[in-house]
Amino acid sequence: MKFLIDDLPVIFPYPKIYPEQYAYMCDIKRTLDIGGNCILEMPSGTGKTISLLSLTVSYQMFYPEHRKIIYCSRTMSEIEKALIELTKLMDFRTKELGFKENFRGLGLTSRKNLCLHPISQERKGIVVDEKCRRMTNGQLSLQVAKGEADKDQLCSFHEKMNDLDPHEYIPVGVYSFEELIKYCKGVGICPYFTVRRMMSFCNIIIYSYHYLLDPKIAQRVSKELSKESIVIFDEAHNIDNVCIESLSLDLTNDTLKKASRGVNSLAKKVDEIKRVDSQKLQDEYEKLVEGLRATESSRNEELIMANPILPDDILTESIPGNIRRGEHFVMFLKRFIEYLKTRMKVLHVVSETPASFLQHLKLLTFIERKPLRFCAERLALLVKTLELNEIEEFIALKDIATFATLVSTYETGFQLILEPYETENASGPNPILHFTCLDASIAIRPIFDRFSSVIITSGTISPLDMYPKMLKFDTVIQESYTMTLSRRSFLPMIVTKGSDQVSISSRFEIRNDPSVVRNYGTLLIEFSKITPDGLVVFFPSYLYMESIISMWQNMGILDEVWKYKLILVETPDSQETSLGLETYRKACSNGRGAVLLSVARGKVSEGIDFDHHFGRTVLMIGIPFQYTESRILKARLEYLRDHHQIKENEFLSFDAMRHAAQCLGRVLRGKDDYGIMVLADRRFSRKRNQLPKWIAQNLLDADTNLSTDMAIANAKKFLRTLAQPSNPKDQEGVSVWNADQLKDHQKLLTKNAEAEMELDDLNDDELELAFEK
Amino acid sequence: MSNVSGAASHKKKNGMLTVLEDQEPSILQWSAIDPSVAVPLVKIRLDFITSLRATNPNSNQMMIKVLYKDSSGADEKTALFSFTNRSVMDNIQRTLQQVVARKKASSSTPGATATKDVDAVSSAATPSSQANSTDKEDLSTFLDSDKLLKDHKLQQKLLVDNKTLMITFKEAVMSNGLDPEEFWKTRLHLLRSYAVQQSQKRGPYNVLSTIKPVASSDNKVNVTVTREKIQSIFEQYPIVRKAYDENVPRLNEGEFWSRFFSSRLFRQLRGEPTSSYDRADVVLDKYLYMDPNADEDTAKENIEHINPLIDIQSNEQDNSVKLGNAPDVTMKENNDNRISGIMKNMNRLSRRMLANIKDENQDKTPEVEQLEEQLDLRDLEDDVELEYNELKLQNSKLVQNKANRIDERISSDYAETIKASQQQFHEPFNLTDIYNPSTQRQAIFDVAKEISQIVKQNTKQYSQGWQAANLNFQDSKASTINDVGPESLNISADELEELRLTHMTSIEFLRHFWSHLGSGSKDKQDLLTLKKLHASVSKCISRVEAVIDKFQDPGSKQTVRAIMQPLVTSLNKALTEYQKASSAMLEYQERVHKSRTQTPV
Repeated sequence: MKFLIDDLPVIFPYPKIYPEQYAYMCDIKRTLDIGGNCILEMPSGTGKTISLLSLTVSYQMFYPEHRKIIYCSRTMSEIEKALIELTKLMDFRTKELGFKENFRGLGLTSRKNLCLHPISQERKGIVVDEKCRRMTNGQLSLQVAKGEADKDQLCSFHEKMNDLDPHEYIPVGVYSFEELIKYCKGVGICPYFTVRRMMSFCNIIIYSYHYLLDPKIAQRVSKELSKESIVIFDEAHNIDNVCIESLSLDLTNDTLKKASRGVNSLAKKVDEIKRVDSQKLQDEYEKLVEGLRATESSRNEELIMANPILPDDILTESIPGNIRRGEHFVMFLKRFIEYLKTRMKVLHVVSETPASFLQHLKLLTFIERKPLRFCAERLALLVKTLELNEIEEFIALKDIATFATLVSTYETGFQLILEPYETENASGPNPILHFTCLDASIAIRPIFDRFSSVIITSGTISPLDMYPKMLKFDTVIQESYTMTLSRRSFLPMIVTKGSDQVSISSRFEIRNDPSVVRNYGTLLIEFSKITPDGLVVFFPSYLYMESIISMWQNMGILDEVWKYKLILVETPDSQETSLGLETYRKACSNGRGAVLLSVARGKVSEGIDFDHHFGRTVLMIGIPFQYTESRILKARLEYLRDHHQIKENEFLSFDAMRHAAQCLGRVLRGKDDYGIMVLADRRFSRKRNQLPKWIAQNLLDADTNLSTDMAIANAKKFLRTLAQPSNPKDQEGVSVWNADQLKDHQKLLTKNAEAEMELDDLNDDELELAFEK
Repeated sequence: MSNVSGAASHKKKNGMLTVLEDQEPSILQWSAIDPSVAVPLVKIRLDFITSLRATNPNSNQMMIKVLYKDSSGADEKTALFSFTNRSVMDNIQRTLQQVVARKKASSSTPGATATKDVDAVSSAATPSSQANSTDKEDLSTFLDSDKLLKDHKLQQKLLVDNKTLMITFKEAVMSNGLDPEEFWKTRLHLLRSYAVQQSQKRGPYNVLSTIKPVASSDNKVNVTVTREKIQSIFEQYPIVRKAYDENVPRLNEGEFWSRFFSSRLFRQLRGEPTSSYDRADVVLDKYLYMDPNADEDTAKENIEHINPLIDIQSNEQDNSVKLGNAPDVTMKENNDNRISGIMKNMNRLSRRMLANIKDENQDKTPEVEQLEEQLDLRDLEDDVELEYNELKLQNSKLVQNKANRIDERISSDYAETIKASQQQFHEPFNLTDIYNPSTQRQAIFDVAKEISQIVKQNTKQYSQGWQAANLNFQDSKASTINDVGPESLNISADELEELRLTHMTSIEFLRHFWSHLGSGSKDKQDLLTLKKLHASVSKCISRVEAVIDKFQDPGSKQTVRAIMQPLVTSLNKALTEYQKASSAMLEYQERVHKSRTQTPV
């Protein structure tokens, strides 16, 4: 249907609309008009994505500025979903308008996911990147032209693109990843480069957060985006973790060993070149002396290494003298790596700030802060002239350079933690040096500075005010929508005790208590008996899941569950988990029924939906708190307390509840979908108000302190009621609007607004009267 | 798994005693350290050992005496081994005890605790393919009525299951000559549903979780396994099949299974933790270390295309330069083989159980559309308008008239009621009147009294009636409440049975008769059948008369006649209809004949 919001005609691809979708779209439009940021919590399963897309596309096409849309989501599966919805939307628009708009929409992901060449079979994505770069940068084709290299070494998919104009790579339209790959395979061009080069012509580009937040990629990919663009962060409840991840890294002895080897090979190469073609190195040196930054070739994508720090923090000075010469720089790196090796030999835990690290470094090795800041850049330059054969060594060297640049650039908000032993009971030391970012606002600062409108939205992003505090930004609108339902379509319940009245909890002290484990097991058995099709179970961590599974196996609980459903488990191996998910879905679809045991912070809960029959019940075993003994977490909590005035408990609780809510929201898609949400932990009854509004509202007071058998009785009744077909007449006007009802609502709103204005005017007149008097 | 061995001396010479189970044949071997001894090697076949004796744990001496039969089977020989190390002796003693116990158990119990068939094993390879092929067959069978009519086995089975049907069949077809094909033609729906019922199979389930070893009184552990369970075990765990194939010609079946259920392999497949205290089985535990996926089609699965919406690997690979910190110890990949083995086992088992099910309703639509459908918000789409099929009646005028008449009748009823009620209300009614206690109280009291009286009356009657019905129900020996009690009619139960039988048979014949007459076909074959049926119907009448005549007592005769009257009426009607139809037919034929013979001028 088509309707107007103020003066903007919006084309919505369904004949009916949910009231909350309309409210959502109005608020987004207001944000875009005002130009500012907003946080919106829209219940799961109410068509958030399609509302977002239809409003922003209409906005873009209607107003003359044609603001580009940058849509960021978390995982590739969610991006694929968004692309498919966008395709549907554009098809509908074509039908409605009667002509095909000149609209391009593409999604971007890593080379490994898009590459058609056999190098994409490499296990590590970064190796694929490197191999690709070596095939596609100008050097190899120069060599082929000179006759030094074989033509087959080049990538045919990339070379074919030289014959085409960037506009011609792919016809106008929206392509999901599958479609893109299919088309490019047919024509023989590289999908990755197609998207990269066409990004500036696209009306909407969809990729994951990293492409905007992680400095290592963002500079290459997102450099040309105008500040007027509309930035959308969808499923953004975890965005602070993404920000932190993009500026943190770990170093192990393994990395240092490989880096050592790498630097030695580099030294050898420098010597070689000095003997054979010293002119090259000399040219490089001259340029650096003159302060000219090496100009990059017009094709930015072949950059060897991007600077890992934020663009504003890159020094614009010339590279300092002591690392200008190639051989000096290599020595510099060697000294640095040796220093790191000695640090790793320490057998007690060390936690220090970057400043103290640099101080100690200077004391021992005379390495100053300034040259360290240029490490990444200098290495990139050097490796441009000399190519390292061993990719693994080169990657390790890059990591060291990244670390060096990061530790020297940032003074606050970061911490170095050295853990000599992996676990408490480890027999031998396996040291790992964590360089961790504590402040999520650092990585996202450039986004808020650069773009005028940023929309942050998710289904479970409560409490809303935590995010502006954590990420240090202001909002013009903060809103949490509720779900309008004609009949209760989901049943949240808090189960606090087993049938033997023993409280159940995943609290660390009692989690391995046999009676608690048995009660959880009984809960699982009972729900697998009554749940049709799919049942999803979430645990707080892999460790807990493994220990409980093993205890359940001994108690015979899993044997009992096998009687009713197949059992699938999420493992850290992603391929196995994908196969497991396929089996799970097959079992749900053909009536066999299955139980999926997974982890609340794991890969499955991040991007996989369990809507309709794929998830009729979701069981949250315990509260998914983070591991509180983790030193990184402790450092982060301290920082939040000191700098953002967020208490530790407050943050931990918020973090746990958002993950729990995220897991619960996975089971609904649309208002005709139904599901049971069980929160199984005694402590949930006190945290009820930390759940998103749409869940908390539907959680009856009577359901907040149930025992297993009471919960089962509730669930049985609920399922029986929901198995009756719903009368669509009930929904009309209440939870679903058709075009007329929407117009009525709009009229009502304008009337109210006018009445208010009248009231205001009246007051003004009265005031005047009063003054006159 | 190494063989159990230990230092022992035999006949005062030092040597090494070893239990070699994986040799063919399994032996207990003692070899002297010094090869120059008189008897350097002693070999005793394990299956010839009859009993063991060992010295008291408290005594200082540590000796084991092995009694065995010679290969000839005649004498019982003894071999004495003395040990210096208590633990070594215990070890060997335990192993030998196991061997002996196993042998005893397997020799006496192939039937009792474990029922196996060699056929079962050989057919284990093909059950899945069979299941699929029979699925296909059955589906076409259900839809094809000819096949159903010819499937005598199915018909017989149905008759055996359905007693009433059997009785009808006996009477109608076997005693009174109704064509069996006729009988079944009208009962195709029964055959079809029965066939579907029969072909429903139970899906695969996790067999090992249902097998629980039960400790019995005399220190033995019993396990009950049926043939089907063994088949399922082979299907779900090919490693067991492999072990079976490789070992069974050597060991007998009973021994194989008893060893399997006490081995570590079994415990690991079940997912239970195995500790070093468990008895290990040399032969079977070898398979613990073999890759369960060795002969699997995992290679195939790797190439399989994964739905992009659940592709976790791609999610991981989305950012190639992601560094970040390693997860904490609770979220790290745990390389503990045992637990991750349990989890992988469960996934593999579920996958295998579903693999054999052929997806008959496979979505043939292209993947893009499938994905779009998945993401659709269905309740925002337009309501599906109910489509009505308009029926076009042929004799529409007739229907119209009837409809009009009905309307008239109804409206005439209403008209009367309205007239009556109009006459009742003469005075105008003041609608704004409120309750005035002084004038209306009495009237209200009267009405209330009347109503409560009626209610009391009704309840009395109702409770009385209910009790009466209850008594009747308890007293009567009839099988259904609606039955007329035989006592009330002065007829014995047997005679009533006979009447019923005659009634049923006649109805059967009548049904067939009417369906043929009503079909109006002029096919010669059908006409013949019709004639036959007509004959049978006449026979029915005579039968009924015969049954009625059996009753001597005039009183009961009258009652019986009354009971059977409706049947007789319908039979007579059938005959008259037939007469009419046949005369009409004759007329028609004559006319045709006439027109044929008359040549046009």
